[in-house]
Amino acid sequence: MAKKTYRQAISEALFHEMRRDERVIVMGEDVAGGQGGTGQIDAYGGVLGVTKGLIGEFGPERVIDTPITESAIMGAAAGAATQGLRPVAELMFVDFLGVCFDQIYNQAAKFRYMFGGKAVTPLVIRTMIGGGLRAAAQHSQTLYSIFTHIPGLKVVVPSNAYDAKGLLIQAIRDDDPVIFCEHKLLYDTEADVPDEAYTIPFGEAEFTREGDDVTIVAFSRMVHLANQVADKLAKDGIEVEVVDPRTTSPLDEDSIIESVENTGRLVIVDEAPPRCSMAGDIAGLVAREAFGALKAPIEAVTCPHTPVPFSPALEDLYIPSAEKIEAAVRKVMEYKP
Amino acid sequence: MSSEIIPIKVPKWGLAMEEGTIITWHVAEGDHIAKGDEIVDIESSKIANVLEAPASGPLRRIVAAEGEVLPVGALLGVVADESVDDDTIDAFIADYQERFAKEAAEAGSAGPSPETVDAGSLTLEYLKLAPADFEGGVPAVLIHGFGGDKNNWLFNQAPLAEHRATYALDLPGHGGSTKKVDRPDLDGLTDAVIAFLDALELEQVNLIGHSMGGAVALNLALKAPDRVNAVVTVNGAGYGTAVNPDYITNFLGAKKRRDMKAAAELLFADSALVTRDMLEDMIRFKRLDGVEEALKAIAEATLLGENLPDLRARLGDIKAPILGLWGAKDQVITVPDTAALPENIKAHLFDDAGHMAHMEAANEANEIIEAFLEEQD
Repeated sequence: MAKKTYRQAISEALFHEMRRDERVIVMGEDVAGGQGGTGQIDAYGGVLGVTKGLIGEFGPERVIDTPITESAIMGAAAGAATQGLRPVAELMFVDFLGVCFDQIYNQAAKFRYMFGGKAVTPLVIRTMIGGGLRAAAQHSQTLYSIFTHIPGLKVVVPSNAYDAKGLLIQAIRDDDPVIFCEHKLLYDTEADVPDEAYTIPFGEAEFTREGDDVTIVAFSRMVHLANQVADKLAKDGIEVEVVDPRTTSPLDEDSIIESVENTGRLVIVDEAPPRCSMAGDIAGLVAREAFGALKAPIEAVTCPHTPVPFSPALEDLYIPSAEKIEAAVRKVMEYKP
Repeated sequence: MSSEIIPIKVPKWGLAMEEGTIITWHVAEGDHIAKGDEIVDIESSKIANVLEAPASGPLRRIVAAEGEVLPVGALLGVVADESVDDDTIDAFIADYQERFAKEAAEAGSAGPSPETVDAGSLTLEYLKLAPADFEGGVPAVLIHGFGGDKNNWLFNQAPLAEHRATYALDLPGHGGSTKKVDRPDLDGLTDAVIAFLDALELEQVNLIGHSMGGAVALNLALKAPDRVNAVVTVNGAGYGTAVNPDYITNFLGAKKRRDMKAAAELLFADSALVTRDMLEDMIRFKRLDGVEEALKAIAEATLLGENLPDLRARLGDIKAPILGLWGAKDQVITVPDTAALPENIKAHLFDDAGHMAHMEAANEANEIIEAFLEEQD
């Protein structure tokens, strides 16, 4: 099976679904790229090249370059979804959600409920999350917990190329609005990805490592750091289980609880700031549902409650690191009541 | 006295295997080993197996330590006669290691890769392995069972391919073949294999079928007797014995690795052979578009209830000689009373193997199959 990058996996998912279903359209800023210039059409394909090639095969009616107006993109996409299309709209950096949040949380998320299930909103919003690109406070945030808070939205945070393709195809075939969060630093990571179309159901966690001593729940890029720590600590005889929920809404609560009931120790790794976050959410869940199984207080490794720093030295300190995760695991292992 | 130095290398068990972990040596440096002796347990990410000695003689050196992870083709040890002095052996090892490192850096692990062929309305994927420098005996076509694929023959295809061209195919709905299956019954699957033979211009072949693939092989020998030189079934369906419906329903219903484990453990006498990677591969296969529908249709049309083929009454009509192999601890298809089989069927039981007898008793099965096929060449 061919190794493919996260970027290729997402692109393949778009090609598959646009070929399979003519109602699927793509819209966003520069998703066609090169349009209106004198050069070759499809010079780029979005800010990170994910939609490259789509305009050539599907044309400007289905691959729509929009003005730089997120409110218009999301409003048009939500409306199109209620009228029978299946738009995949790009919110380039998740940091821009502030200018189009009404369209997402108070419109698209509510239609199915408000119309008694008679309206569906098959809308996918692709967006980039995460720090590490030296892109400063307004282009580096990890905001999936804000979407997760809203009933009516589904939120997907793929950590690898295989999951990205299967989850995006699932998202496009889903009849509800789905926020699909792509981590900027993962686009060039590779995994075995089948050429054929496949789907991964929402709300099913993946155990990327199995172990009996400590559970780490990690999201998106943090899964890779957790895996590194698990592999390192295995050499010291500490067996770490790594749970990648893959979607924050719906959340596979059963898998998390089941794992903690086995290990008795929990470390949550979340690139988002700590308040009202997935880290807090899962800590609360486990404290409620698996309190009796806990052998040590729950640890969370998150960013501090500050904006993402522009200084490279500070940004490196800001994002959870393998060292911090390892220290948290050792702390819960060494805890004595 | 021979001055030949024979390297023992990490084997390649299946297309995906890139490296193996050395688990346990069963022999010590200096032991005299015989060709075919089980000498070392090796584990790939998919499965564990035991490596047989490639030659007889004193095991002069063990190069790979237990616990080491080594790429396919890396040196495990060397066999050489006592007349070869230590310096020569050390020089051989040093030279091998240097060449191996250099080749690995240059080539990567490019081996044979699967091909596809249009067979009627279907596209079928297959892996061909053939002897490098001669034609060999009558070609063999390997047909996997329900829910399996061409990689199920990972321990068998390469050894058989030392003597003849081998084609491990993916049945419709399986592996890399077309997932849309218009004719999911036994005749439909059989006709797909006939179309495969036609497309590759294989006039006459040996058919080796596992489980449901065994029923396909037997049925093909009835439908197109002149195309079949000999038939080998491994825990084959078609002998009129029951299929465990739990296996089929667990396999069809499994969405997660954990659920798939319940099905996969029924496949082996030793359930420890079921690895996380094996389960992951099975789940990933089931997630592909069209697979669930295809498997469900095939299960209903060829495996469940009254549709389970019972070829007993017609087995005696098959002109080609038949070798029936069974893992005695099969939990998926009941092993028939081998004493009551028609005379044209030669039967062999592996006491410690389950449904995947060709994997669990691979080395023994390969020898028996090859000896049987050579008689028919």
